[in-house]
Amino acid sequence: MIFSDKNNSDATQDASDLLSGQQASLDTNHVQAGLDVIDLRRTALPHGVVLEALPVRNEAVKSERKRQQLILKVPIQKQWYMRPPFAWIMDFRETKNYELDSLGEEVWQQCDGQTSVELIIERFAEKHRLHFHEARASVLSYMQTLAQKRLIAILLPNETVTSQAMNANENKKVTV
Amino acid sequence: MIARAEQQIGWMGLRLTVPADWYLTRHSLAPEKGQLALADRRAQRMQLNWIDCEATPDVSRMLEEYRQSVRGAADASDSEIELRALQGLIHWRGVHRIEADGLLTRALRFDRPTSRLVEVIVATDLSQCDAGGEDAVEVAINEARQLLAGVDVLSKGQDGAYWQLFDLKVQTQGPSHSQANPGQTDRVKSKQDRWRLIETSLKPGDSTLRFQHADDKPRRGRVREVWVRRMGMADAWYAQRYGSNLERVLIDQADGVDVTPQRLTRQGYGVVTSDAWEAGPRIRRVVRTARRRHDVLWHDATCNAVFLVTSLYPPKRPIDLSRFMINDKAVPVRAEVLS
Repeated sequence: MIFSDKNNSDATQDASDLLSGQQASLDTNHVQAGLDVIDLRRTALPHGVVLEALPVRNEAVKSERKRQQLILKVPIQKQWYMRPPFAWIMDFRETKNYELDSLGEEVWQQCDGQTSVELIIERFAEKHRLHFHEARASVLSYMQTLAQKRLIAILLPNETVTSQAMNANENKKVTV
Repeated sequence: MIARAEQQIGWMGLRLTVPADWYLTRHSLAPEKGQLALADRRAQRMQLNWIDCEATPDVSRMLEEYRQSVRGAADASDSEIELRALQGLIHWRGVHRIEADGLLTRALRFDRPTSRLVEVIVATDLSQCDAGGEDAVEVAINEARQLLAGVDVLSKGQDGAYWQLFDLKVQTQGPSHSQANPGQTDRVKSKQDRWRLIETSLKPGDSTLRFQHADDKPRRGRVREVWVRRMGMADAWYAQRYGSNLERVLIDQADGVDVTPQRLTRQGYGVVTSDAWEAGPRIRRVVRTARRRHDVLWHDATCNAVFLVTSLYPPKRPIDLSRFMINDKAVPVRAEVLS
């Protein structure tokens, strides 16, 4: 045969890689939300599970609007040198700010812990008249950046789903 | 399971009719041998391989070898795998491999006029079927058969005239071909103006296909090229960043080329064109290795996108862009100049 079997998830992963662009660097200096953050693009989870995941905003993040732009303020975890007596001499900033554009705000507002990734993508695709998969690449890439900046966390529906999905993924190697 | 709405995807002289929510995840640019992979929202569903053959391949032997390998694998792993012959399709010969939770259909077809061997693999997750047991298998087999029936071999890979990257559909041999019923198997007969796809670029909301004239030798300043680009999500950037001004978009996208945009109108929508030399030192114009550059840019509100067609050609061999169809519409080249 001119074809050799490949794991099903390979192709979709290829496409995500192709579409996702550069991966933002991880900034560990932010206050963590205390939730598991899943790497949406590199994860071994099947796409179905990723689509069912629920993104939730980091409660420590404050937002304010300046000149019609939404600005997110993430508290910075205080390092030893940020405390007195150094802090008496130098003025350390307490938050790191991120300015969201209209598209970013659209995604951010829907990260409420109730709306699934799939629904966010569907709404995004419908609004901007994009193919679902084109919108998925765009939204997942953006969510990944938000998650790396600790602005959001991605929650899986429950652990059972995760373990089932893992098993299904392993079985696929045998069956397909 | 497979959605009812369908779409047609063209690639390298092949045309597939697949559910509307499937999309290409992998594609090859080599006309002689390559593959296409399609996925739905959750998993890969179909793979299509092609290879040019000098002699008629022994399809029966290939399938028998496959059957034996499956049986061997089943014996070794002590798993239960059922094999059924593909039936009801004239052009295809193949096997359904049925397991507890999945069906894998592998089918082969040798197209004599083009000497192409095409292989299609369709994967169905039986646990996702509404029906259960044997009914689920029957439904999955019928769907695989339906997908195979929707695969057409139109031409050799190098004569391919239909291309699609997400919502960017390009036809390089219009308009006579475009007028034909897209559902029928119309083979590409014209050997004139064959365009070869040499590069694709895919970013969210931004797809580009780059074509090169098949008859041109890769010599500096002699090659004719056409770049077709679809910049989607226009509502997010076209008005905000450019004030809905196509001239400004063109100047921004011209990569430093000194363009002089000209506003035109055609079929009710505004078009901006420009003629210039391609980027590079002036000496190239003197030694005649610089090409002319022609840009056509328009905003299509119905699909929320801005399209840019850039052609590069030697000064004495301009490109007839009227043969290009983008999303089933002709490239707006014959337009009235606005005063």
